[in-house]
Amino acid sequence: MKGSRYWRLWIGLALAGVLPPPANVSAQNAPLAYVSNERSGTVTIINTATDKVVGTIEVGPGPRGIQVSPDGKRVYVALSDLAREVETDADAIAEIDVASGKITRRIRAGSDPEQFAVSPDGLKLFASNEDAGTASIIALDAEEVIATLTVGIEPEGVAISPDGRWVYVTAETSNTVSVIDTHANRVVASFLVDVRPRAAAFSPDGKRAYVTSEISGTVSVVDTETHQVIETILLEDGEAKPVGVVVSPDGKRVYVANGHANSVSVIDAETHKVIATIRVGRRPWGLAITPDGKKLYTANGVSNDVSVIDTSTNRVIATVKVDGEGPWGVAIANPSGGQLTQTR
Amino acid sequence: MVDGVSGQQAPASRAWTRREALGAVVAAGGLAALRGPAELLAITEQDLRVGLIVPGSAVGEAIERGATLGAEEAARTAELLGRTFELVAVRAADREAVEDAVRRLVAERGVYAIIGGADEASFAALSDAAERHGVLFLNARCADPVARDKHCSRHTLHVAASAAMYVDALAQWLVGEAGRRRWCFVSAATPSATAVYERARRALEARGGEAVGRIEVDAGTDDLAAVVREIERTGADLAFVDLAGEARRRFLEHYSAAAPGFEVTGIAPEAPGEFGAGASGPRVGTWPTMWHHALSRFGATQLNDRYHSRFGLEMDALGWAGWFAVKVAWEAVNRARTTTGSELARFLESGRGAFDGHKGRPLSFRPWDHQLRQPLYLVRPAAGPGEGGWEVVAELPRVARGQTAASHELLDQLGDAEGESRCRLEPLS
Repeated sequence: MKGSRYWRLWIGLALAGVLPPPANVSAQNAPLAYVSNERSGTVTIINTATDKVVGTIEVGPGPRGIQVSPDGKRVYVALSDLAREVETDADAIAEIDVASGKITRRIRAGSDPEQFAVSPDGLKLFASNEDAGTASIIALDAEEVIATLTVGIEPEGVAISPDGRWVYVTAETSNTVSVIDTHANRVVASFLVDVRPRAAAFSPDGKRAYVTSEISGTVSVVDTETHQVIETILLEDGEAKPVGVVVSPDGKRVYVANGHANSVSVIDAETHKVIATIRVGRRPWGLAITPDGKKLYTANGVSNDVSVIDTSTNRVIATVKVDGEGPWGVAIANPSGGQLTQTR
Repeated sequence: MVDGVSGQQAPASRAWTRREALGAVVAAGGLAALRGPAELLAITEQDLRVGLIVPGSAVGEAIERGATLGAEEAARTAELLGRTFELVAVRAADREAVEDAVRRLVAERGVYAIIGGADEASFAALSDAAERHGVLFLNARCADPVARDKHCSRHTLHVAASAAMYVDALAQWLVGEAGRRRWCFVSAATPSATAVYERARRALEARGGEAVGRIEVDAGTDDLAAVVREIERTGADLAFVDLAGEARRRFLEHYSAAAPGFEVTGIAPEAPGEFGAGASGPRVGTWPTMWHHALSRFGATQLNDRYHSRFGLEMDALGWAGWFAVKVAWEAVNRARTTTGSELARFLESGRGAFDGHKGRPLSFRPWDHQLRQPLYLVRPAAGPGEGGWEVVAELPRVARGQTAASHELLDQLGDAEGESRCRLEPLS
């Protein structure tokens, strides 16, 4: 549709509380970056070929964690309201159909879901429930919480190994990572990392995991066979505030969003050395990388924009203003389907 | 006391019963079953016990609430790791009772750290006893500069902010931001008050302010209205009040009634619920504190919520200090991998031990005086009704956007630098 007819419809939908799907998402022939805007209750969609905003979806209060289904057809975003320590109707994970840009269902995931991971088979979702100090395992087909597990205090980051066997749940106050065996649906180990762990990410081969610790300004490198920290990487002399973390598709680089330090650290996954520090927008939290590994996107919560980094030069090549408040997480999906990268 | 021994106080002169000796015991998986002496002595890094010694007062209870929350959280984490953590709380007030409590906690319960310092007397006794028994002492409240200087000890570390830190926070904000440059000081005629006055005057003058008067108030002074009038005559734009308890409350009542043309601030020992919605006394002035229930950034909301859920109360500065002291005791052992007091002290003063107090920065201890570096907050009466009585107006030290100094350097803007501190511990080799 074009012209006034289109805009009349757009305004009508907006007034009805449903913004239109992004400018014909199915016609977008490039991966799309979905950015959760915590304070405005929206998700901004950016075409990663043009780095232009192509749409906005109203999702409800407090969208934070955002992930893509393994087949790339759905985007999940965690929602939570201000009613702390109790589960309300607003606490849910919304499922967005990538092709239509519409919310297709809202899935209960315990109180105050913040971050989560989707199993590689797309059947289960693992969410941290910050206030309750638990992790919920949700069967996506049945939309049912099938297990609620006690993890550390103030659980936050959730990551799943590429083979789907292990889920790591970080806990900010207890400085722990709880290891969930997804075959048994129970916590089988816990280990200490540095202070205030915020997020985790697995390497593509599943042999390593990387856990950011915001107060220590470090990244813990974990041997996923033993679930033990084998090295701790100091970022910006400990003055970085690492939050989001993502590993490049080839496994050679680890990218860390440094929150209040307004930067992204680039780590060589082989040597564990920081090889670059990139200044980005204010308070980058979530980040995601395109399937080809060429572009990195950071959700900048204070400057209300997204920094786009060329990973070959480690330079910011674009800054995309979101039409929302408080960008928090980012995930990349492909309208044409296919496994894409995850976010913090 | 928490968990089953509510209201029990252990008078110094009375024999220490088993129940009193155990006090509050918070352990992994709930209350620990009482164990025999032989087992109690077999303390390892797997099974950790920390003591809390506070008087049976509102102040002691406030510290104990925070310590209890901290212990429950540590115990839960310990359980995840296949270990145990316990807090053993004892009520003791005078020197003899405190010393006896320390001796027995160490010998019979195997504690490796003790939390306390509710007042100057118990602070001094705990510091001495901790040094003697080689266990860590974490001071949760005492800010008195004279007592601290006298007990500048290897095993004593201060979670509680120092008087110098409070003073610097006030000077930075009130002179630098609020433009109050003419201060009149009101304090008791004591060595501690004199030390605070001298330190505050230096902080004021270093920022271009001027001390326009000092009024010493005797403990028995009744006519505090006259003091308010005397301050007005000095032409001060701010009164710095270093009075505690009843004297402070009466001064503020007179100040509130007179509504003079100067503002009021000052320091006083942190008190339970002092800046909460239900606080009594006049709501006037701008005051420094270690914590406030209205804080929300850096996970403060979550901590305040956990405290409120546990006790049905707003978390105050004493609750925060008790909670944080336990956190330090628990995490220090995890990272230093020892329960030996001197080794823990060495670790904590090394700078490698940074902790999350939900204040947004890594908190660490200064090596020279064992003072915890931490941001402080200034509160003042909330603008309108229904806002909880008090609101946070500033976090200190102020950090300019783009200022990139290391956190410990930024936080060292508050308190005595190594060169000016009277407590200068030599680094352990």
